[in-house]
Amino acid sequence: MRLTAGERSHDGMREPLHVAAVRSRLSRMGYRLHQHAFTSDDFEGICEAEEIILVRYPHPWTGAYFRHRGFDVIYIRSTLSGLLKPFVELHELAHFWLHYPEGPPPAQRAQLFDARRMLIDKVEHQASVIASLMLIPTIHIETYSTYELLELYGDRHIVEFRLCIYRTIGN
Amino acid sequence: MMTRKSRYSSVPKKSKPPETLSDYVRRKLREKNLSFMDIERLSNKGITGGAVNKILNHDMENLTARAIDALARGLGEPPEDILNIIIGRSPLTETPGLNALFYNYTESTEDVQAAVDPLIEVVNHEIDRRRKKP
Repeated sequence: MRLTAGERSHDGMREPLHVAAVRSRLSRMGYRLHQHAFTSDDFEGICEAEEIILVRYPHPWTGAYFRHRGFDVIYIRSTLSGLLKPFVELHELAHFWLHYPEGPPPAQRAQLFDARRMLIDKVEHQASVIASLMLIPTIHIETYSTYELLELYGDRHIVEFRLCIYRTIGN
Repeated sequence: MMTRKSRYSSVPKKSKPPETLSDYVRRKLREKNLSFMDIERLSNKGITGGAVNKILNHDMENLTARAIDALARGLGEPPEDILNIIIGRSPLTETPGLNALFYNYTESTEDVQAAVDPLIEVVNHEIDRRRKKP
């Protein structure tokens, strides 16, 4: 995990450690995790602040995070649109924060976005949890009905995933 | 209905040969629009323009550690990239993240390489730009 122990917050008994770590990091940058709906603009601002090289390219892969020549690189497929675009962006950003490529064998170091692994792989699941928390803030979950959320965000799978997280961790 | 299998279907695709030091230096000179004398100057005369010419003509392939370091400085590239080229490993496959790209998408190495190359070019360009920043 890239975030240091000092950045981890333990308030909120049901909040997983990786969520607390990201919330703390965002708080330092002036963002409030459960109240701000992060957009692509926010993502680009965070990439700049974190000195991440952001590459948008029309590749077959949806998104990836990897390190190259000592630099952190996030690649996002340039043809993405709708809610999937910020979701993939924030998902890769979560990999940058949480899954620094060290330790595992080389073959597992690049974090490629794969919707099929989104709920299966622990690492992918953590990144997707962060992405959905950043995309749909708790304040919206508590303010709007499911129908209104679907109207607002327009992606049933992501909204349902977010609601599932809300039911599990209370945020 | 049975479909007839091509006699060549089991033959693996020929993978791209690794880039030689000559190819690598030629590519970098072209990309950065550098001359032999520029390399000599940028390396503080650590390597001469004539030596660079010899590398391009495959007349000088066993470089000393000092020459590798000087060539790296002249080209503005990490020495480990040049070392990897000399020992037959492309710097591309040395990048852990890219290893993973290959690992996950190895159905056709050639196709993946062709797809990854332009992306890495963009990333390398940006890294060079950031390294040049004061």
